[in-house]
Amino acid sequence: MTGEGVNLTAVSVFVAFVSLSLIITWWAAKRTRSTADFYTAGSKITGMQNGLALAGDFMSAATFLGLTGLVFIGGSDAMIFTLGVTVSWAFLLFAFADRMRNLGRFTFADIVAFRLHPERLRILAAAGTLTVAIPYLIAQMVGAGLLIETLFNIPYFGAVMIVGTLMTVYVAFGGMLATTWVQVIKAVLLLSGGTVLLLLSLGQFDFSLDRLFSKAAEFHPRGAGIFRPGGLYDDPISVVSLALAFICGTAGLPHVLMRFFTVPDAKEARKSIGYAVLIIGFFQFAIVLIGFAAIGILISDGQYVDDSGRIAGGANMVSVLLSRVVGGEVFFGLIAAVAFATILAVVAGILLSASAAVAHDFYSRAIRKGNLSDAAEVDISRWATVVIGGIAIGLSMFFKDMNVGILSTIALAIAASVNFPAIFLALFWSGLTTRGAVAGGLTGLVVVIVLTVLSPPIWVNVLGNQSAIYPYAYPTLFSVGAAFLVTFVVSKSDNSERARIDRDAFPAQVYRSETGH
Amino acid sequence: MSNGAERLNDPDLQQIIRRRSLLRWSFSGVILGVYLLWGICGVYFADFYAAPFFGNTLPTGLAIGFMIIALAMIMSIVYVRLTNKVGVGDREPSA
Repeated sequence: MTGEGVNLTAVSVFVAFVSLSLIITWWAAKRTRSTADFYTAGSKITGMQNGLALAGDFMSAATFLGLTGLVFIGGSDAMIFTLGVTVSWAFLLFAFADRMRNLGRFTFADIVAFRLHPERLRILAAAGTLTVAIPYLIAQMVGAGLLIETLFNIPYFGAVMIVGTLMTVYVAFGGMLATTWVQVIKAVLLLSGGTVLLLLSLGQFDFSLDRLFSKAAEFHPRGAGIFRPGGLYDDPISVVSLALAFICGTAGLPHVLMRFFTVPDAKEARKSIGYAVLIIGFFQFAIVLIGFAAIGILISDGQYVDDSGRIAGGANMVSVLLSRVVGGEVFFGLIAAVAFATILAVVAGILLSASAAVAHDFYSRAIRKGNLSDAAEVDISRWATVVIGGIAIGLSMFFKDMNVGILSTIALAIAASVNFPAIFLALFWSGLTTRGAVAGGLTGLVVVIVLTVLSPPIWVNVLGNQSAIYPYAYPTLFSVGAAFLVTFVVSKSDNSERARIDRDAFPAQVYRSETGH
Repeated sequence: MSNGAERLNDPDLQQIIRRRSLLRWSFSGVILGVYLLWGICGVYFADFYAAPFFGNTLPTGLAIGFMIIALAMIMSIVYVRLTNKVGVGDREPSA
């Protein structure tokens, strides 16, 4: 694919997307003056728009490219991922949507800081945001750099610079308004592109699922074995750990939680996540079918696959290559450009959550204790965006060879172990105290990092040891469990004056979280 | 804000909170339970999951998985409809 010159469709679609997004940014910049504009677009986004943007946040390169590749390699095993994505969003709707919206204003720290010691919890939440956002940002940017290097023949360095600069411009000038619209447009592009790819692929099998699956079994090196779960996981602890990473991780992602506050009230918040579940659910259907279709089509086509069934450019390229085989050069260019636009929109959202954590939670609330003018805080946010954007570009150069999948899994596991227990217990347990929340958050962070390093993907595959000290691929069952346990025990044994204030304010918090007043 | 605790005693509001909490935990419990059960069963009944679903080549485990995705989507529609109705959803404070 490299060395064949540049795909004109890909370049023109991509240039069109970038131009449109810059016009939106210019338009949004004129409307972004206060902190409320910058962080939440003045809470004026409708349920439908926010639903598309939320779905867009989650349909990252990791889902569209990574999950299709995972189905291609792992067959039925990948279903636990696609199902986990959909179920975790439904859980987010049922358990969190209304209470989160009613309690929060700009970031998820608003929820934990409502009745607990505000400064300490803001610092914890800001740290929790950055430890999730930075690896996530790097994972997406490394993925983008490699994708662009392969598709457009732009060197990795230049590709990362383009992505990093554009995301910084969107966020620094256009804030949440620009970020949301870029995300909405990308979600529509990705959904249409994905649907056409699905239809074209199904067309190769005369729209018969029966033929699609029999061809997959016929051509895959593992034969009908791809229908049997157990290649990626074969014990209940790994299954539960993986499921928890999705369930608790999604509800702990700062850039997703921040979107709850862009709509006017709890009613619209529920509606928007309802739309997000429908869009994501449909997309997961499509991904599983596209992945299985790709087995039959790409392996029998043979052009991009070697004898052992390995795909040229890695499994992440499956959907892009499939589009070339079933749709020709023009459609291939379209999908490649959409994949790039996807990454661009996702990194902008993550960057915004990171800069809100630094400027709002850490600087304005914890350090200056709220004594900062609105205009000054917007300026600080813009500068924080530029600095974090720069750091992300620098780190992405350094981590070029890091496995993108591992990085995003770590980010999700940290979100599940550090942010989720504090948010969940703050919302639903009257006994939570400041000391308990801080102790639990730190425990979650330490346990998740230690177990990740000791687990097979890093201890064996990266560090080259014989066998892993922690035998399961996913740390979440134990790290989330430890965080909950420590939070519970420390809160229970906390007899400080602060603990009394924390517990006494619970009824007021319930009132606000149920009514919004 | 300080009178939030007292206003919480309003019997109408109490009933709304109870209804909403019932919806919240029953819906969450069902969807999470079904997902975990499906995942854990995959470990023990792998051959059944790989077997054709009613004479098709579509594997049974995948077919059930597709149904769970559909269930999550349907439950979400029902949940939003129910909670956004008057009496269960949000309302203006009485005072």
